[in-house]
Amino acid sequence: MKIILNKISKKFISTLVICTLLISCKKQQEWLEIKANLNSVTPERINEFQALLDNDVNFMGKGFLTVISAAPYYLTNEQFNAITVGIERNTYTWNKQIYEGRFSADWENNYNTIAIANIALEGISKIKITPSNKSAYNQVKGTSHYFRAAGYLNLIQAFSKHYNANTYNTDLGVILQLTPEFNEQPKRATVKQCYDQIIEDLTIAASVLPNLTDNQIRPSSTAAKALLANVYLLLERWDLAEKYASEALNTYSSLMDFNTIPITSNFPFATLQNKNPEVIYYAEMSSSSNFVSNGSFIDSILYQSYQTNDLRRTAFFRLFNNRPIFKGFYTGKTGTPLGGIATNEIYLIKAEALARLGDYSGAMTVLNSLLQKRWRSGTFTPLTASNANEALSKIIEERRKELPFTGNIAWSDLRRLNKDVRFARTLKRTILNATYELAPNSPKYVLPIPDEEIRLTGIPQNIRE
Amino acid sequence: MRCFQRVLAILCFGFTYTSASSQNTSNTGLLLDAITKVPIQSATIQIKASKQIILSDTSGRFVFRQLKATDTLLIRAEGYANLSIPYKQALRPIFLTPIYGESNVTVQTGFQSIPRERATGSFAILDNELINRRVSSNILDRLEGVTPGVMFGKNSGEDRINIRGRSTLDNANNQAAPLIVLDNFPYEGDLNSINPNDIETITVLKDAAAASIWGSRSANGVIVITTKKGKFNQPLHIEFNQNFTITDAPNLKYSRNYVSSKDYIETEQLLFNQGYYNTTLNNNTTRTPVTPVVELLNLRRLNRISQDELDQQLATLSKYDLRDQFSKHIYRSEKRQQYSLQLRGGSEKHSYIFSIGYDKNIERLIANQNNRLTLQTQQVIKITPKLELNTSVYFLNSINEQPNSSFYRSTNLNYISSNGLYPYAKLADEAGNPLSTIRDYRPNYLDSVEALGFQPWRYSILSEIANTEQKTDIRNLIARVGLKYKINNRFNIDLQYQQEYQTTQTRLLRNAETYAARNLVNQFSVRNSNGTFSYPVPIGGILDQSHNSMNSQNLRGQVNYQETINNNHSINAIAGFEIRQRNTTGFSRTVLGYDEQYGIGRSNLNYQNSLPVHPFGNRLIPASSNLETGLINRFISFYTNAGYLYKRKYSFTISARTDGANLFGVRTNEKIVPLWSTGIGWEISKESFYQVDWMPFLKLRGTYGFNGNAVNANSLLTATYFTSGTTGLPTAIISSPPNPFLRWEKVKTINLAIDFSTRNNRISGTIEWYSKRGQELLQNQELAAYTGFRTIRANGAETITKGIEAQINTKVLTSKLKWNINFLINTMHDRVMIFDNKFLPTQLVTANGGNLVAQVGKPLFSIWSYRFAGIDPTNGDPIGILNGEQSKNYTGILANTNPDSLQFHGSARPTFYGAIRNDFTYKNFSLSVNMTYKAGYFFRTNSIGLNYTDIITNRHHVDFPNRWQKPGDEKISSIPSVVYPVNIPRANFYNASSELVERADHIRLQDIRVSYRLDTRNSKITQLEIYGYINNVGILWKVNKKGLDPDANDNSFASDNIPPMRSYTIGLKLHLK
Repeated sequence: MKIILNKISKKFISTLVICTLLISCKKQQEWLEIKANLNSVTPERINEFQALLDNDVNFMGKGFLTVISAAPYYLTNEQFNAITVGIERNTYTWNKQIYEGRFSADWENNYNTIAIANIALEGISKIKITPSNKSAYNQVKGTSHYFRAAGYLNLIQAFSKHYNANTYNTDLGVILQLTPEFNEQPKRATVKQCYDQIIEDLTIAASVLPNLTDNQIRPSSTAAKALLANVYLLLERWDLAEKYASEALNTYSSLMDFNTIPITSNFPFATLQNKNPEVIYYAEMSSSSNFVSNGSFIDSILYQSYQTNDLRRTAFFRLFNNRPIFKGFYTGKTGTPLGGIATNEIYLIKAEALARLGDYSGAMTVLNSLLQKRWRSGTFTPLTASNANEALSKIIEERRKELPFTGNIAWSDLRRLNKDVRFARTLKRTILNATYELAPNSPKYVLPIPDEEIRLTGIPQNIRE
Repeated sequence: MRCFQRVLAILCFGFTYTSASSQNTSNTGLLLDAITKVPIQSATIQIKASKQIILSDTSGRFVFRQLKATDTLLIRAEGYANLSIPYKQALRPIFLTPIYGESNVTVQTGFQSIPRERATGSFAILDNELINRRVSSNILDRLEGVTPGVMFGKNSGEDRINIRGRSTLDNANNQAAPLIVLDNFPYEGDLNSINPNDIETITVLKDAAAASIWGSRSANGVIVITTKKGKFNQPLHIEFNQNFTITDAPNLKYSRNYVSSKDYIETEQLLFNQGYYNTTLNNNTTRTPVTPVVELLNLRRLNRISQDELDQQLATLSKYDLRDQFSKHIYRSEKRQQYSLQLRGGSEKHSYIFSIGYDKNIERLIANQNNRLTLQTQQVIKITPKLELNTSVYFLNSINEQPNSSFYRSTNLNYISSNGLYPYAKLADEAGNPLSTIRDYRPNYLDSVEALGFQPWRYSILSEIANTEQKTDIRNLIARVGLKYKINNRFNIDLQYQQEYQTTQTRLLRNAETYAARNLVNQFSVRNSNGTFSYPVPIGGILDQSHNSMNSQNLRGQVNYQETINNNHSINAIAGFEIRQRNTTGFSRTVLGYDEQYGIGRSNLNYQNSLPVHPFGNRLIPASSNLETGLINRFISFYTNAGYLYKRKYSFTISARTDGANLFGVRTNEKIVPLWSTGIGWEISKESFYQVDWMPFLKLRGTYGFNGNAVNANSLLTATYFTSGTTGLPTAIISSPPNPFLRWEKVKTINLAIDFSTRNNRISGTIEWYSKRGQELLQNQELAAYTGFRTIRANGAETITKGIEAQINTKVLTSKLKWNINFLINTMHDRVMIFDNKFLPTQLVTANGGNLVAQVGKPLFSIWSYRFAGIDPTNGDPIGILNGEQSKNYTGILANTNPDSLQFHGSARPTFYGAIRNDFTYKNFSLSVNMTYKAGYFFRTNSIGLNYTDIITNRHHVDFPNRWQKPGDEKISSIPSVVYPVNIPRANFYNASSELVERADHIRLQDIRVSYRLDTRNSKITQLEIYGYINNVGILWKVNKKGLDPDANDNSFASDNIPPMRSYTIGLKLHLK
């Protein structure tokens, strides 16, 4: 009996030993380390960070509130009544509170891209640069810096006061998040700190990115310089604005001749896939059917200011019951304003900077080189100015006519130009027999931070009264 | 096909083997239950003189050697009186008499089979009779109304099945679903694939002691399904089952999401006069359509028709009722046929079962049907007396054809994306020819382009169904092989391997005649200057195909130990390991311009450039996603389980398990957190001091332990790759921000129970109390958006669930007329203890039983609302409460972020539920009636949106005619007035107000079963039963005054959530020897 038992326990033990060997601890760990999802990745390689940066979320839905607030369109009562999204109606009438408990895509989407940029920057910092990976590495690095800068620029246009040399050192900007690790108690940086960061990021981007990229959703050094020109225009550093605008135009200055595009079409401009030749960097603002429906017409004074031979009159607008409706989006998509940057804006920045610096004839030359592409062939008479002020007025007017529905431009132009009594304007909108006004320099030129974000972070809200 | 061949091969092998095996039982004894004649396994047979001990096997047999004619055998078995008989008598079958309160019932844990009396945990066992009481093609449905502690969710979004509530806050990936085990291994396939006729028992493991052996997957309970098996030394036994079920066509008039054509048309007229449609009527770009009535009103305004003509046409349209159209052309009564044939038996060294099942179902949506074929075989061969080989194969093929997805109020019937089908639509003319309804574009635009030579561009629901082919083909093959080696009477080793393979293929062909195909072609078509057309999207059908396959492999090695020492100590233990891998892969593709006659499509299309489309805009041709998906899940587990029974009175069990998986990343696997449980049982009635004559059986049980829940999350920053449809670039999106501290969810469970039985089992039953504490539950912890993410998955939430379950059987009459009543009583109260994610009032007041909006201190699923203070008698405005005062500041009420300002009603899921079943038997007749009840909870009902625009878009509702229209109406109804222009906060307030919350308590007559057993005394027929079964008989009582069935709550406006219709079954059961 004992012998049998011994035999059995030997067998038993040996079986156990075999089993244990089969799944020894190390093997077990190795076996369990396989990734669970074929399509998933924990990003580690350069191309994986590039894939994160190439994602559609980074170039879509970059802003909504500033366009609704400032674009030169008016809604009919019927159109306004039919809007179902409270945020859109509240923003259109410049209400004090706008969110109705919902979140703001403007805030969220820009910070999402900033987070992706931070993840990519931290990730590639662990990768060694070699001659063979250098260009791919720099593309990721430069793109991340560009995205972060563009994100913060969008955010402070919407959620912070406009630059003021005397107070921007203390005025509240937005939360500056520069690493993937989250801060326990985030704070709003000052407007100056935000601009400093944007400039630093764009400077790096301009230095490492190639002059041009083959896909418009990937920023180039030209795009970084163009955005720098834009930033310096906001900061009233006319010399630097002119410098970067010139540098950008030196590498890419292509303009469409409106005589050669189908201006009568509903979609005169090419889509991302078909490449609009003026677009340097492609991004989209959020789209809304209320920008383009037949119940949404354009400021008639603005429309009248386009002369008959100015092809923009046909390219940008369609008429419905003799009322102009905007159609000239550079994205080639209906109701979707461009949120990136295009050459026409750079020409205008350069012209304005030159005029501000006193070089009014130089300024007019730059402006005319843009306008002659916009007029019917053989009808354009170059504009002239006899002094810097006259030049500036003409450039500002053309800026409104060239970029009525582009990015944050209408909004940030109002913010910066309202400081100057010559250009200050009061906006008025009438809906259901009530008239709403937005006075120059009103505190409502700073949009509220989403209520939810205030609750979760405890950062101070913007004062809108 | 190859699978089929394999199955056949094994079958042939099985039969040959059977006929070849010989009979030799000369020195074998057989133990049977004196009453049921069921074999008794694991009995100890001791030879008095030599003290030698033998155990009986699963077929009740035992083999003895070296016996003298004078020997006496002492036989002991759990639940039976001890028996001492001389050797000679042992050559005939030996009958053991059962003791009260004990039976031969065993619980199946998936790892072992334990006699009921030894188990300390909470198990619910459904025997074959109870499983077959109900008729259904899905096995899980058969648990409903007969299983204590199991709740079925009926409304969309609710957990389909819950065991003792829910201890996870995660809604993704079926996280709250119980683990299903089919014949010892987790079942990964489609549950509809299991043929209920193949099932012998179902055991539901509810508490820690019962389920913790399943470790990290057991927190939601485990359902162990065991198939029928062949038995050794059993002659061929044939079972045939057949039934036919017919279900009434759905009653669309139940749905309250309805507004009459007349009211709808009046609303359209009102809005038309307000200019609401002006923008759309003036739209010359996207050509958004309006309904036929608005077209008529427009024609009148343009003076193209006279007022008389208009009135006449509107009067005609007012008479139409879309529900009649759907009842006539879309729905029908459902018919289900089920057949199954089973052969089983065995020789001394071989047992086998072979079964074939076939189901054919005609569904309630016209043109939809499904078929299921199942084949199963299992062979057990005793290679040597000590070595047993076990093989089984299970094969399934099910084919679902579902071209009709046009159920009533389906969103894909909307005439434009946001507007449901108008109630005066006609689907067919009097002769039954399909008629077109408005869709996507205005008819005048379509007239103009069709005249230019575009493809026909009209939409007809009926011809869409006729031209669509939709088919899902599922094949499932499970092959299993096991070796059992008996080392001695104490030890045996069990090695089992299972391979499960399932493929799912879907094919959706919308041929060239479908609107879907014509619309795409027309949108992209280009009309050349000479009037000819070119087609960037070629004329032809759209073919969508997908293929998914799942392969799971399981290997288990286990040592079983069993010993009884001098009748006082009985030990039963197992230990083993398990390795599992589950691999799923899949891909899908779309072909445009498909010609089904030749099986070819077109691939060289211009997917790169955005192209102009008609009537307006430009876009890319939709490209097929070239994505292959792949998922691999791996698990390694070690487990042990031991039971000790002392003096047959005191039982003690312990179980432990550790798991590793490739779900979380390294850090979690490095930390071994064993999940364990322990339990004790005490059979008081066996104590000498126990003198309660009227209750000869009384037992107390208690268990404590932990279950786990494997969550699919990742501790590392994870991104998912796909190809961008916009840029064509490979891109990745971050699916979750990193959290290195992720780990299993854990549930701590305490279970206390009393089992009892009065004399003659007149009243017997079990009462259990449990407490489940969910710990380290995953939650989507809210992040501030500046982090770039809105939520992060993190452990940290806690819940507690407590309840009482009672199952009581009473034998009311035991004479010729037998009457048994079976009571199931369950209470379930859950609360969220820790939860960091703060839901806003706007989220709380819109949730129903399907939405988890946890709030600390409240049930997991709760109903909240805005306080409703009546309606304003001057204009019908709803009145709410803001800061304690009556208010019509709806924006203020909605913006209030403090949940305390809301009215809390209670749980959205039943806190008290169960069933009462009456079984009557008289001679050969039996009748069984089951009533179910649910109580102690609330549900949110629907009403109209308070804007006229809501009425014409998608919130059709019967409340509309009863709204406030003039002063005085407030005395009759509390439905507020409807307004234009749109006031959204006003409508949102009302739709989430306390006025629309109702108590959900109700009692339902679930089903009735009548059967007649034929006398079969002198034939080869052992059983012949004819039965009739009526399911969903009706609701007997409900507390809400609106006449609503809370189990068919049409909270979603795009649903045909109509109560399950009554079904009638007749069936036949035939058993042959």
